Amino acid sequence: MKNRLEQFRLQKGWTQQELAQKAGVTRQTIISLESERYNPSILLAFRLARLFGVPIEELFLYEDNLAEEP
Amino acid sequence: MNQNDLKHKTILSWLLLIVSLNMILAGVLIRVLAPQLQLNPYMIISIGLIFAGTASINLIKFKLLRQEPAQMHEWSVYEKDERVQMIRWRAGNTAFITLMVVLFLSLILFSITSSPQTGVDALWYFLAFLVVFPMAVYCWQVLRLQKRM
Repeated sequence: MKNRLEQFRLQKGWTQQELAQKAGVTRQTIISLESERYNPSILLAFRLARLFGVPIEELFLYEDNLAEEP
Repeated sequence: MNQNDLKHKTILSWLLLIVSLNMILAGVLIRVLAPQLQLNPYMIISIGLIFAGTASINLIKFKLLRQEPAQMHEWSVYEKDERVQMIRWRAGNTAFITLMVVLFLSLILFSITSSPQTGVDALWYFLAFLVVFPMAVYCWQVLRLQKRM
């Protein structure tokens, strides 16, 4: 799943450590999220979206591998 | 992790230390009082020493954490971190499946071998392998997943 976490974090001027502290996770988790190696739980996704004040769909971009039905 | 969790883990570490000291004592007593027994007391003593070391390290760590609230908070975040928990869960799952496969293959092997003659030593090594191998798989998986996830 793609995300715009780094973009929103830089807009806020936060470091990865600061974001990790605000979200209650480790810095390594933020690094993994930004590099899209790890998909967050729905709870963490909502928490992050709330931290940036944006809807969850703006932060995390869902891509379905299956072809969309007409 | 809060103070209650820390208290529980401290109690468990004390219990592990007591058990390990008993193992060391039992090993020494077997060596001195019953050398004719078909048990290797040094193996019991070495396992006891490993457990005692683990328990002591944990107890020292918990004591230091209690003295440093900032470190305590950091450790608490690490323990609750969902990625860390996911890595542990997946590594544990792989270790469990590995153990099941090894047990199944061993069962097949013992079933098709007519009257397998296994001595106490061979059985001990086999049981030790069943403990150590899944633990090694677990550690390897944790390291691998930490790089991948």
